[in-house]
Formats: sequence, C-alpha cells, structure tokens
Amino acid sequence: MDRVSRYSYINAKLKAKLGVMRSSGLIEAMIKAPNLTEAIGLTAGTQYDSLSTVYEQSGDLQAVELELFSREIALQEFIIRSLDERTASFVSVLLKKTERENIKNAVRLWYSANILNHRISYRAAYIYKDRIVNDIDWIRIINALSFDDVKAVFRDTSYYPVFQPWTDQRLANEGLFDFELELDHSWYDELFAAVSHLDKADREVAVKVYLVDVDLKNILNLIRYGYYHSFASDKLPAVFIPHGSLYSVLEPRIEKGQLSFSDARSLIERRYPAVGSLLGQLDLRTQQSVSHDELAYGTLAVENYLASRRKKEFTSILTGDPFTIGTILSYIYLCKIEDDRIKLILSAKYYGWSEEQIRRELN
Amino acid sequence: MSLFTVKMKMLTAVVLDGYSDKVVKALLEEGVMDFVHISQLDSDQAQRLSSHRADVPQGTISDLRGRCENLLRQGNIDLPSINKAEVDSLGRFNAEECRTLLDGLSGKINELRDKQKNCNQKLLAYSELLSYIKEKKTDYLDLRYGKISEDRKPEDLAARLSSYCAVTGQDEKGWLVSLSLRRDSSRISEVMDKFGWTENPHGSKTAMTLASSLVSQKIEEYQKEIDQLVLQISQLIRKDEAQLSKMWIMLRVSELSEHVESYFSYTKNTTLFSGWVPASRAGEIETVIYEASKGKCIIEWTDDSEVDRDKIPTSVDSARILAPFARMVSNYGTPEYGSVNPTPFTTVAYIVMFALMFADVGQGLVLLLIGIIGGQYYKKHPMAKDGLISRYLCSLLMFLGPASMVGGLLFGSYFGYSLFPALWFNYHAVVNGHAEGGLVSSVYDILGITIKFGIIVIYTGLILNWINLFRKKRYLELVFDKNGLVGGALYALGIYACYYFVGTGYRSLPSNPLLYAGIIICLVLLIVKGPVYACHRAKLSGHREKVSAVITDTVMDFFVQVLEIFSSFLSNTLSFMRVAGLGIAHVSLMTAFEDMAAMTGNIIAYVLIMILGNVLVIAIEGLSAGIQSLRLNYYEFFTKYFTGHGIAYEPVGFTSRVRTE
Repeated sequence: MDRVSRYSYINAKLKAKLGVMRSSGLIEAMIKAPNLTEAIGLTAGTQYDSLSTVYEQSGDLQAVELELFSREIALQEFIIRSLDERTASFVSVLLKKTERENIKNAVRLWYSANILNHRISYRAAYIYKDRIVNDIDWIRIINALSFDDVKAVFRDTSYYPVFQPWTDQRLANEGLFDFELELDHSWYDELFAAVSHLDKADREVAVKVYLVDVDLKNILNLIRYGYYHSFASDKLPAVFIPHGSLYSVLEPRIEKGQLSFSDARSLIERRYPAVGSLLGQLDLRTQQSVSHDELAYGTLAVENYLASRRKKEFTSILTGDPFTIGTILSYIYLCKIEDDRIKLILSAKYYGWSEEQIRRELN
Repeated sequence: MSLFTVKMKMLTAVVLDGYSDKVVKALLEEGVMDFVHISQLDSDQAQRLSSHRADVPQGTISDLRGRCENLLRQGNIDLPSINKAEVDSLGRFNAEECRTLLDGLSGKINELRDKQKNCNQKLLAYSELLSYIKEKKTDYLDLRYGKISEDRKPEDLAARLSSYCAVTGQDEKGWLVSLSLRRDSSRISEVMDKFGWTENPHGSKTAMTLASSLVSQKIEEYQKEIDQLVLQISQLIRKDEAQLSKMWIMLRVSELSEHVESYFSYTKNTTLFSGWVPASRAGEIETVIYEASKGKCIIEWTDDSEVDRDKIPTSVDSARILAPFARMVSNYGTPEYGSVNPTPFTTVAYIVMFALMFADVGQGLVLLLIGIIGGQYYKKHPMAKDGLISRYLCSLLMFLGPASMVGGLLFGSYFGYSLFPALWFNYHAVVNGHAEGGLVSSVYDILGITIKFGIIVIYTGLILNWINLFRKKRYLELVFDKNGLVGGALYALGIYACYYFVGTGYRSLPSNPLLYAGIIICLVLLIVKGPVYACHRAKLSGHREKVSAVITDTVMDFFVQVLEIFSSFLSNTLSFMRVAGLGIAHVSLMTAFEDMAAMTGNIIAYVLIMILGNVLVIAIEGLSAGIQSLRLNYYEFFTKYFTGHGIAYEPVGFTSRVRTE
C-alpha cells in the first residue's frame, strides 16, 4: 500500500478533528466555570459530550475520569482500525503506553490494599477493565492476594520481565517508584524497536520527534528528582530513560557509575540553552532556601517550558508531509494533552482552586 | 424564490442617543439587518466619532448566558423563544443579580451531585460483588456463615461491615450470613473477632442465595436513591424555570444588543449606524426605526449601484423545500452579489445525475421510505441527535427516492428485475448484452448519452456564467475568458470536430472550412486578449505598462489559456462518463446477485440473497451515486459559473445564531 492510500483518509479525518479541537473555547470556559457541576456541564454538545452524560448519571468525578480514559483508548483503537498491519502495529505500541498507565493504576490499587492495608472498596470500579492491547485480567490483579498472583496475570505478556524480579517484600521495602520507572522505560525500548519496522518516511518522522521527546523527558526527570526531590547523584542514572541524544553522551559515565548531577546539567545547558537559564533561576531559589511551595512553582515553570517544547515538536509535524505517520503521532499527543488539561481543570474545580491557580498549573 | 441573488440596499441612520436602545430591540425583532462598521464607510467621518462602550463586558454576558443554558439543559428545559412582548417587559439587566441566582442554584446542584457521588460509589462497590456472584468468581468473594456473641447485636455488625461494602443478613435458622470481597478479608476478620464471630462448621447451601439477594437489594436501594437525587436536581431547576427562562432571554437580548451596538458610533448626543437590508424590506425597516425613535432620526439609503459589488452581502432566496440543495451550495461558497442563484440549477442537475446512476423503482421506494420514516422520527424527537441517517440525509432522500423511481421507470428496473417494459430503454438488457433493437443497444450508447448530458450541464454552466458576467458588466471577461464566449465557442467547435471524428469511425477530421475559420478567430481573440486587457488597465489607472512586458504576458497567457481550454473542457466532459459507469455498475451488481441467488436452487436462499443484494446495493451504490453527483456539481458545473467569492448576508435578530464571545 502506498503512503497516499495509507494515510489520505485517516490523516484528513484527524486534521479535521484537530481543527475542531483548536477552534473550541471549551478549556477557557471550563476554567471560568464556578464549580465542578458547571464545568462538566459545559462539555455537553461538544466532542466531550459523554463526560456530561456520565456525570449526570453518577455525580462522580472519578467516573468521568474513567470515561475520559476510555475515550482515549477508543480514539487510538479507531486509528489502528483505519491503518494497514505494519503501521497499525506501531500505533498499538503507542496504545501500550495507555495500557501501562492502566497497569500502574491497577497495581497501585493492589499495593494500597495489600501492602498499605488500605480499604479500596469502590475504587476498583474506576479501573478500565476491557482489553487494551493484551489480554490482561484486570479483575485478577485487583483481587490478587499476593504479588505472585499479580505476576501470574502478566506471565504471557511482554511486561513479564519488568514484573519478574519484584516480590511482596521488595515492594513493601522499596515502594512502587522503581517498578513504575522500569515499566515506563520498557515502553521506550518497545517504541524504538517498533520505529525501526516503519518505512523510511515514517521512520524519519518518528525518530525525529521521539528522540527530542525522550531528551525532554530525561530533563524533566532530572529536574523533578534532582531538584525537587533532591535525589542523590548515585540514584540519578535510574531515572534516565536509556535513549535519546543526552543519554548517548552520558552513557559511558552512567555505565562507570560516575554520573554527577552537574555533568548532566552542563550537557543540558549546552544542548538546550533555554532550559539552562530556567535552571539558573531554580538554583537561585534553592540557594535562597525558599519554601517548598516556591520551589515547586520553580520546578513547575521548567516543567511547563518542557511541556510547551514537546507540544511544539509534535505540532510542527503537522506542517510537514501530510502522508506520513506524523499526523497520527501529533493527533494522539495533542488529544492526550487536551484530555490531561480537562482532567486537571475538573480536579481543580472539585478541590475549589481559583482560576489563577488553574491557569498557573496549565501554563 | 428568485433566480438571482436578492437586491440589497444600505441603510445609514442617525438617531438620538436616548432612543438607540429601542431602535436596537426593534431591529433585532425584525432580524434583517446585516450591520457594517461606520469606520468602513468614511474614514474622515469615522475619526470624529467615538465607538461603543459596553456597560457590562460582552464576555461576562456570554458567560452568564452559557451558564444559564447549561442549567436549563440539565433540567431538560428547551431554550425559550424570544418575542416582542417579552422583550418589552424585560427589566434592566443586572449582571450581579444574574450571577447570584445562578451561583445559588448551581451551588445547590453541586451539593446534590456530591450526595449522588457517594451513592454511586456504594452502588459501584455492591455491583462489583454482584458481578462476581453472577460470573461465579467465588475466589474473589468471602462468604461467612456463623454467629456472633449473644451480647452483640447483628445490626451493629452490619453497620460496621457496611463501610467495607459487605452485606450481612440472618437466615430463617437465625444464623448470620456475611458476604464481602476476599481482598478485604483480614479487615473483615478483625471486625468480626471483636463481635465474637463463630463460623458454622457445616456451612449452608442457601447462604450464597441469601447474600446475593441482599446485594441486589442494596443495589436497588442505592439506584433508587440516585434516581431520586437526579429527580431532585431536575425539580430544583424546574422550580426556577420561569426565572431562568426570563434571565436567559434578558442575557440573550443583552448579548445581541451589545453585538449590534458594537457596530455603532456615537457623537455627543446621537448614535450612528449602518447596515444592509433586502431592498424589499427597506420601507418596513425605515418605519420601524422611525417608530422606535419617535421620528427623531435621519435615515439615508444607499443603492447597491453606488457601492462596489464585492462589498455587498449576498442573500439567496430559495424555496424552503430546496433546503438540502441550498446547503450543498452554501457548503461550496457564497454566490457573488447580483449573480444567478445556483440552488435551482443544482437541484435539477443533482437529481438527474442521481437518477441516471441509481435507477430502480424498488430501491428508490426504499430510499423514499427511509426519508419519510427518518423525517417523522426527527419531527417527533426534535432534541434527538443526528444519527448515521441524519436530518439532512432524510430531507435529501425525499428527492432522491422519487428521482430513482423515475429513473427505474425509464430503464425498467424494479429491485433489479425487469418486471415491466422500460419507458426509454432496458438498462439491464443493454448492460448484459441482450438488448434487441432500439436506439440504445450497447454500453457505448449509454456512455454517449451521459457525455451528451455532460455537454448540456457544462453549457448550462457557461451560459449562467455569461449571464453573471453581463450583469456584473465585466464585458472583457465575457468575451475573452476561458469560460466566456471564446471558451464557449472553442468548446462548441471541439464538440463538432469530435462528433465528426467518432462518426467516421475515428478515421478523419472534418474538412469544413468554417470549423477552422472559427478556431482561428477564437485563437486570435485569445492573443489579442493581452493587449486589450493592458489598454483597459492603463485606462483605469492612467499608467501604461511596458510593451515588452505586455508581449511576454500575452504570449505566456495565450499558451496557458489554450492548454487550459482544451484540457479542462475535455476532462470535464469525459468526467460525465462516471454517470454511465455508476449506472452500469449498479446493473452489474444486481445481475451478479441474481446469478448467485439462482445458483443456490433454493427459494429461501434465493430470496435472502436478493434481499441482501438489494440492501448492499442501496447502501453502497446509493452512497456512491450521491457522492459522484455532488462531485460533478462541484467540479464540473460550479467551476463554470460559481466563484463562491460573495460575502454572506448575516442579519442579526432574536432568532439568529450569532455567538458573541
């Protein structure tokens, strides 16, 4: 199948949907809404119409969030159905990121019930339980009495190597952080392996966007854990996703266990000068021993900058060749950030945040 | 309905400031004025005027209106219609009062939603239990059957366990049954130990049944509670329906007034505004303004001939029944002011094209029935969302169904069978190669018919273009343009030459000297086009272009024009062969289904295959014919006369869809 036949229908459809998304004033109106009920009510008659239906039936924000998650999956499944096998299998890898999110949610719930001994009661209902990419028995995870039972669910999937070394005891001692990090990193491994199976034009677009994306994600992790959570230098290599241009330069030091925070930082300043200047401001705050909240806002400023860079990268693909996978990558990304914004606004309304606070979070 | 776009007149009025509010409302009620900014009229005068300053920002009014609409929707209340009496009775708009009412109501709903959330969470938890019971996933359940210490009460135990969404009940023997999720076992055991729970070692066969009914009972309880809360919310809104409706009208009127007034300009004591109205309504509007301002106004009318045509908005007056075709036209673009109204021509062209491609009495009847049933459904359910068969499709099918039936009568097709003799020729017989005699006996004859049909459509387009150019007084274009007289003449000569060539069995071209003389005259006209246009431009601007530049442009333009005329007319004409293609495909598909059905040798299978065949043909071929007809209209017909460069006439009134942000 040639590129024009493969992409003309789906890309035209997605571009039209993007046009509708861009022209909508929904986000702005939701920010201004005085409370949660009115904010969700605004979605009626828009492409997020199902959210208001779910809310009117349940009054439950978490049910609305589950609906948002289901929409995200349905959207990617629609794209997969419209593509030929090779491209569809690549988009399935993208959907696996969403599947990983659901795995994390299910495992967190299990962890909460079994390790932290918390009551989870109705919370199990907010786990997406249908098939995403793999046949995963979500109910078995939620009801598992030990981590071995959870592991058994994943035995025939590509996730098993991540689960295999973990035990109840290890999770009780170390928490979920490293486990989730490994799960995230394994997605990047799958992603870059899948990119190599794409045809030349698609591969070029995907490599270009994901190499920058992984760099930005690495910077984000470094700032989040290096500055905000003040990780020791020896723990930093673990948060590094082993892909991208930053990692390839730092890899020899990481392997020798010689990576320091300042090494990583000076490399970032060289490659991404704008991030460097934001880090300078963050340093100033750290030296002045400002409050934790102010440090959080400083970190948030850098995070927002990185998010806007990522958005720019994914949006710029839309101006390129219309008959590549670029439009699909861009659409999935832009929909995800739109969904995240809506989720954030709704949570903010639930907790009674001011318009100003919401805008600061949304940047 | 008018053949041409509606004649417009521009009104400019000055009213005393104190009356401007009444004038705005009177104009909104009429809803025929398309306002223009005074600044667009005369820059010197505009500088001396001040612009409108809103008392309440438009954004605030729009936000409040949106909130009001949102609440009305949640109460399943339709938006009220706005009439003069209600507008007259409106008090002064007070944003703070509106906000207070909306905040109060919305706050109460929020509280009820919060209660609904709590019930929903309980419902979800019990639903999980019930799903495991139904799916026999007993591994996930913890069923206990026993007794508690005599000094403890079963109700207390039930109350403590309910926080784990466990159910407890007592059977007829006095034993207690408890059902919970196994993942909560350790916590349940802790509670039960405190109550001195003793498990019955023999168990009970009926314990699960009892537990199941207890869970169902809980689910029913919470569902009822949720329904009750939803009803309460609806009642809460309905209680304030009158106030909300009045507020919505006030907000909408204020919003529209602000929108209209944003076009106004002011001196110290007067208000100045301007806008376009259909010439036929000019007298009426003048009276309305006089009455509203109690005669304290000055009105001036500007005729359309005094303004550049490309600045006048276009209003197309088409019969209501032709709405589906008017929408096809507006999707393509807005006709230029003063040009031919494309809707009636599109209607005829589209219907004929569809009838030629999808000709079958039975299948046409099905389309008509879908249109009628769908239309009735939407009439009964005005709030229903458009499905796959939308309102628009239903109204279109009301035309396409009968068109297909007429086509079927002409070609003798009834659900793919030739039940009655064809009025024109038997399409099935021709396509399947057993036509006997008649003027149309092979698929080439059908192709010929559709090409002739194409020529008629293209020529209609050219003639409409000539009428448009003549009315616009663009005489040079009328003569020299590729869709003008020269282009038309070359097309006619080309048709003659082609028919002669085909008539001689593709052996010789015509030798008629008139043909060659005609071609040479047309080509000469195309060459002189450049210098004529250059002279015209020089006359208008007073600036003469360089001769070398004119010659270069002329030569380039000549070659491009000749190439364009020959290639575009040829491709446009041949494009109509798709009409025959679709018609032939339609017959072939029905024949194939009939052959398949006959091969089964079983009457039931035969009928089923024919029904399936008809359904598939109606769905796939029907869609194809609809799309191809649209394509032929847009690319072959519209491109000849319809530029789509007009400005849409958008009057503002109480019923208009103006959204101001």
